Amino acid sequence: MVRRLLLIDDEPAISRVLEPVLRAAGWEVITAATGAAGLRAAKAEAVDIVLLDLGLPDTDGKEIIPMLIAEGRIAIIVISARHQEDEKVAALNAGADDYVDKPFSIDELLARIRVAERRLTKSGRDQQQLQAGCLRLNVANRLVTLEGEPIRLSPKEFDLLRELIIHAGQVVTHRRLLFAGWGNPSADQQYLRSYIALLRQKLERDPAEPEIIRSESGVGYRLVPIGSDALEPPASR
Amino acid sequence: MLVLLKDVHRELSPRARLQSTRGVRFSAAQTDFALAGLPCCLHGTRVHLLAQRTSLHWMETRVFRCTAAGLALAVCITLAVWANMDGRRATTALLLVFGVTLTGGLLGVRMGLIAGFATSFIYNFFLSDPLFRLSLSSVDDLVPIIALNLSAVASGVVAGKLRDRADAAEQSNIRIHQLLQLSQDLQGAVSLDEMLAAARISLGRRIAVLDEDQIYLTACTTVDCISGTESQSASTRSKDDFVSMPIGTEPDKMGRVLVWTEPTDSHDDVRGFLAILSIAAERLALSDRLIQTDILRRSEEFKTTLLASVSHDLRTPLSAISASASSLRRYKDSLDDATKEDLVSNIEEQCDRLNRLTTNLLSLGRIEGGLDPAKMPLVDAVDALGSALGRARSAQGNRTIGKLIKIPTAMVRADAAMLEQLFYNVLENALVHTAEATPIFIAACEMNGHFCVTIEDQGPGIADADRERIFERFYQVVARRNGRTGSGLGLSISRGFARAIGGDVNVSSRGPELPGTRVTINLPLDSAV
Repeated sequence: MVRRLLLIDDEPAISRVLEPVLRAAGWEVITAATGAAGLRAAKAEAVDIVLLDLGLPDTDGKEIIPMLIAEGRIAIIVISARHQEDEKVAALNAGADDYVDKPFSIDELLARIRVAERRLTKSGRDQQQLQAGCLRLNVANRLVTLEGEPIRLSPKEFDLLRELIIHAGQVVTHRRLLFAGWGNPSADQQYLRSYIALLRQKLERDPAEPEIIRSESGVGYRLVPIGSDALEPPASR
Repeated sequence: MLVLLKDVHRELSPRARLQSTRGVRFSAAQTDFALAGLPCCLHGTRVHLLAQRTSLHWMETRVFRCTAAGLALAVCITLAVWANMDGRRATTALLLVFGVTLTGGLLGVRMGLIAGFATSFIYNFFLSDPLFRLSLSSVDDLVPIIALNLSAVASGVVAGKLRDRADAAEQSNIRIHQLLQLSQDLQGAVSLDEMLAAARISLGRRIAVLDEDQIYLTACTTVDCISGTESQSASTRSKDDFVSMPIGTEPDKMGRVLVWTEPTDSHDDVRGFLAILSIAAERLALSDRLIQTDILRRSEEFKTTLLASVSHDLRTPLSAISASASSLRRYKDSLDDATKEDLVSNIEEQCDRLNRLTTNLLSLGRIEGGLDPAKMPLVDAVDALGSALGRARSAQGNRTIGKLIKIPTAMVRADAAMLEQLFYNVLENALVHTAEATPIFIAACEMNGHFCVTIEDQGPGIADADRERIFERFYQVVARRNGRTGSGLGLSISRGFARAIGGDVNVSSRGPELPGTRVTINLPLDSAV
């Protein structure tokens, strides 16, 4: 199967690096310097992953996210030099799967691409058995095990963990977690903070220095699979 | 440094003094405030409107009224004497009462009362029988005499009271006018000096404003009483002759207003004026703070925009460097040699780009900080243009650059490095935004005492709407060529620097039918050379 990746970035220096490296990693790379060209490319060929820069010369990258999603099963990873949290949240809310801050190392980017790809190939959210590293979650009987040890979770904690584990390796916005736990995306984030703290108490070796449920400040949380079958954790910045 | 003001009171004309004794304020505009060689803001100022308003109509003056009352009383008494000789007693009495009423009406209660008693005495002593005695000839005379005396006194008192009330009403009217006028004048004042000048003209009193630490805020407020060191110039004032009031509300005091008072000033008036002065001073202080905050906010906004743009512009080359370097390390086995070579040269180019950005940012900082051309050395602009050209050629490879430089040297006052940067930024802009195959033309000559450089390209040209905007910081036109992107700073730095040394950078189209852009740089030549 041909894996196609579309890189939409107006910065020639970036595409000059990413193109050969991604090709070496086994991807067929298509590049586009503007939002319009990117959309054309996504329409013309079946693309699996889109790397999208937000500061495009003809449009704001956020604007074309819904149009890209409409083209089919596409995972969108935002690459941006804008480090404002509200920009990231807006892109994720618009439908992006993840984001990578500029400057990034190639390992970090490839790890994120692998996570996105894995999610695409999985059958979806209605899976009965979810796994991330040594953490397993059975949706049918609401059973959670960590390294084989069963863990007792309250229904709300379970819902939050399920949402995080579905998107393992990717950032999940506060909004999405609030919707998963409380059915209301604009609920008080204080609730979310306290439940995440409870989850960390039960899952983390040291809740003060979480390894599994990491905070993406101002944006959301990211579940990093550790232990056997772990995905490569993103390099710490 | 404090200087004593001359005593206002002694400088006044007798008429003004008369008014002031009646409690009416006078204009201090004509008085000489300049002492000890220090100019004073009041010297030669206009005569204030308030002074005209308070100068009374001639019929209203005290002198006129005294004269009129005396004359009326004299006529009435003369007529009464004449009527009495004819034996018309009723007429006599009525004339006397009329005279007393008039006097009271013109001069107030006290004079009315005195006139009443005087006419009673005159009537009893000179006019009624027995003459030249205060006794009565018969008991029958007693009733009219008492009636006359009482009505004379009573009419004097009643008319006098009316007069006094009218005077008081006039006084308060004048006071209200003054307060209004003062507050209007103070509203118009935009600085403490102006406010004090306006208040001094209106009040004719010395006024000072102290800040929280009891230090004089205004240079031309010239008082020495508080500091305790009485100057040698005659000061007739004691320390107690001023009244002060805090500016602003208690928890947030901004200082005090002081007014030196005259012995005749009513305490209430002074407090009223002080209240107005303190409000005006508070308004000025608050508006000053507002301006300060506004300036701070704007400079913060500028810094935020600058930081956001700069961090974006720094991160882009940094991410190319970071991705290239990590790829080289991680995938050195799976990448072919050409790709590896390209990644290395990409790293080099991005480092160069970072360096240019840093140089431009430093230049921007220097322009923002302000440049003084007079302090700059004389440098040869032709030389600087030459080195900029050399740099541009080596950076841009095989581009055709035609040049026509008509003067051998052009001495301008400038910083050599920044001058080269000025030319380089314009050249780079022309090269980056045009196709490889198109040539660039440079011409330099002397024109009207200026070193004039034109740089022409045959690129797509610049839309009219963008022509001024390209000089704005961080403005970038969409079209980018040759894989080179600017920071949006180059042209703004060129223009900023050219303007700082008295020149300019402008952009126009090459002509109505010709494609491309012409950038004109004008720099003033140093006239001494």
